[in-house]
Amino acid sequence: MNEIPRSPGKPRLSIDELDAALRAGDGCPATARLAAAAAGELAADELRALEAHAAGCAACAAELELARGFFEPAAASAELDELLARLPARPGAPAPSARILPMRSRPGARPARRVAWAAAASVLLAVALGVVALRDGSAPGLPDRPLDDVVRGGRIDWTTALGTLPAAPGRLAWGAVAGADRYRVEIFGVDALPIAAAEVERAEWTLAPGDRGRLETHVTYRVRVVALDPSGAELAASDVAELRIEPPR
Amino acid sequence: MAIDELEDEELVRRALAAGRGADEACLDQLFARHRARVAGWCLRICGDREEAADLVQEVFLRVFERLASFRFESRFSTWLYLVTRSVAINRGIAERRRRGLSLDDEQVPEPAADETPVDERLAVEQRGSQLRTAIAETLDPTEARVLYLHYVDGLTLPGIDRLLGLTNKSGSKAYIVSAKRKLRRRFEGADR
Repeated sequence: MNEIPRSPGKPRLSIDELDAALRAGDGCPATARLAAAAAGELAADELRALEAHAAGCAACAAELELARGFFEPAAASAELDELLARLPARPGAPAPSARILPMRSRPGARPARRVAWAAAASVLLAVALGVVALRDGSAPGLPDRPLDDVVRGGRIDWTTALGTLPAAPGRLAWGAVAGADRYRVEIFGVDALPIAAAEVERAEWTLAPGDRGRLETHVTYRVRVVALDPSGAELAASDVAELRIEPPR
Repeated sequence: MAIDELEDEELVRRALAAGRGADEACLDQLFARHRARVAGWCLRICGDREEAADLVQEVFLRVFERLASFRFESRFSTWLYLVTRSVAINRGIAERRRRGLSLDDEQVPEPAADETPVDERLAVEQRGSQLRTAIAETLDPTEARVLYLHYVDGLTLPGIDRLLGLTNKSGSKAYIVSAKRKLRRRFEGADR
């Protein structure tokens, strides 16, 4: 037997279970605070409190190490020099070798997202043009939803309170959409990547402990739900709502 | 003031507010300032120059795509780290899941994906509590950190070796083997 220990007959340990077990209770600082600590942004008293917590919390200690590795000056090495030499001098310019970087050959590696910087340039231009629009109304950092993407039904309204909450919500609910076969609900982190998502048949989503555990305090998340018909076509979508956990002091 | 004298955050403000030409110059400046930092971290985590180069490009593409998400609540470099970490970790997790949660090349078994059926939730909560106690009472801090970095953050074992500066013969793998042995012993003892 060569597994993480478990009781006989029980399912294997999930990543979320291990994550929770490696934390010192529920009071872990947000990853952003750990990053701020590593970056030297915190006041001395907050830094002391955070380091005291990390001393007894494997998860936060590990995240702190990970962040410190970013903010410490990288050791000079020929390998790093060669890596930097492969990068273009500026976004949008061709790489110094005037070729696209070679495909990775490591067995089992996923196909590289081989992005030519020429394509990057067009993304940058699109960003430059789209930023003002993103700042007006639609949630920053999330893909804009074209209006013609919604076939019928229009907007979904949230029926549970969002915004700033004292604790991570256990359930999210919204108004049912006629003809909906299921709903896809997603929570996006500060970097606009989804941190939790589900497809549910009813107009509500009960968050698993692991999903709730990912919602850190003092971080603004964005939440969106989309109604899907049996073919997977989108019937309606909610506005992107903000969700922030601020425990009472 | 010359563009290379501006703070990162001011460059972001100008990039968000300005037209195309100035926007590109500000983004260029941010890229020039931070590429080495991002590349160094990615290289440490990946250990593979080509993969790290790919990751660096992906990070900056995401940063520039999502620049409007930056709320000026921290330094730009702190936000850049959060994006870098997220891109790297998501890639690692996606890769492991694509590979069927197998880390045979590292000969370390993988916990199952997060797909706990509803009828097992109570058992899971109880087991989680037992596991937390067992970890706190039996593992040394490095073992616990290595478990977290490998299983939760999805870092490879060589990446963890480099990050934590582990110089023992088997590096982080030795810590994982040791941690699992201790936990297994603890749980087997509890089952008797």
